[in-house]
Amino acid sequence: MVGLLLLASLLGGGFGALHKLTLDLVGPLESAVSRSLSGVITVKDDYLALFNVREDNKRLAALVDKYMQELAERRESYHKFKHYEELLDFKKQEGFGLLTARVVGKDPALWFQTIIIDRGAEDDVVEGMVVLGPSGVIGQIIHTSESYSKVLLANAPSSAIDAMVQKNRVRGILKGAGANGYVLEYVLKNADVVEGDYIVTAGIGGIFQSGIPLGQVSSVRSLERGMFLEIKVRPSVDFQKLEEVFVDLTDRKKILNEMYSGADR
Amino acid sequence: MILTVAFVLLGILICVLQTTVLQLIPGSFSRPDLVFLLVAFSAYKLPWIPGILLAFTVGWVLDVLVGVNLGFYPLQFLFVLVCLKMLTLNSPVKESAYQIPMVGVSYFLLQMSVYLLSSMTLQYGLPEWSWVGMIQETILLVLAAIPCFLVFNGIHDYLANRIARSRSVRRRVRKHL
Repeated sequence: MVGLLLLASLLGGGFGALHKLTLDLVGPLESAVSRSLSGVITVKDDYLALFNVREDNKRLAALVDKYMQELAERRESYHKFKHYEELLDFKKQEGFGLLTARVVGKDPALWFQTIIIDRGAEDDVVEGMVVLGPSGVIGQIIHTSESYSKVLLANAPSSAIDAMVQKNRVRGILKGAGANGYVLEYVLKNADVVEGDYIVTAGIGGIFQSGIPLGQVSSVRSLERGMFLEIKVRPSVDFQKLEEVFVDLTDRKKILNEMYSGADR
Repeated sequence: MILTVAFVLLGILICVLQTTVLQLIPGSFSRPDLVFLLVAFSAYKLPWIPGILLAFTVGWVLDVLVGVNLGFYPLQFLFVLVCLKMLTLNSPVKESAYQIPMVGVSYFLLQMSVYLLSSMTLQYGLPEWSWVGMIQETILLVLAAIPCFLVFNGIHDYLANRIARSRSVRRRVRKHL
């Protein structure tokens, strides 16, 4: 039988019925096997590919992290640049009498606000000098050492500045109220002061020049008793975010003279 | 001596942290007074002389760093130390269960009395007393007191053990000699 079939296929010369039958029988089996195998191969390929995807994912996530960090650094650099540009403009406007200082420490107490700056007597800083920022008055030097000074902030309860309402030059005393900002005192009830008015230094007493921004009126109350208005003022300076300040050196000679004449007496 | 020096150095470090790192916490959020916690701890754990030295030194450093009315901080911390020490001497308050609540109560009373005294003696008016702010500060201090006391206690016990060990070694060496 085998020999016959062999002879028939060798000598027959064509793809006979038997061949076709065989093919039809084996074909589906082959098809099933190859399909299963391709399924396994696909699963295997996909699984391996998943490893690669995971690797890719990790790599891309690391890249994203890196780029996000770079972006944050650049954003911070940009803001610093803008901040320094603003400080530089302010310094140029004010002339050469300003000394830049960095805030190195802050007071943790609830009611007495001070900061420490990294400039002291060796930089010609003396007690009584005014400390300013681009947004306005920050405070006054109260203690100095060779390299550091302590600044009493303008919003400290012991601070009192001669101030005026910018629009109509109505004068009063601006007192520090700690975290609540300032209170403008001794402004008569008939004075025209409304919320949003700008408060600036009055220049009386010779410590501060006139017209330096102090803040904006946040509320005005006319109490039944008394002659004066109750005016709360929001500081123009954010005392929580102080990083760099300027010490005004222009009055150095005058302050020293006052100090020495006081000591002589 | 070593214990005193170590705690004084720790106090100085805490003063620096209090005026720099803790001030970076954003705006209206309260900051626990770690220096007060160290002084309270010294009242519970250290003898009189080292406690006084520590309270004075940290008060002095704070005075230098941030004080407006000089001498105020040393006085405040010495007062706290003496009061807590007197309270804990021969009384059940000395037990560790009372220590943390006592810190909260003493902090609250101290702030009240400082405010009262300041408003009576200073020429300028203080901002309004805030019950909410004060209670918030006190709660934060009590919460911070638990880990801080653990750390302080750890440092104290470690140093005390080392000192005791080195003393016993020295004694043995003397005996042999």
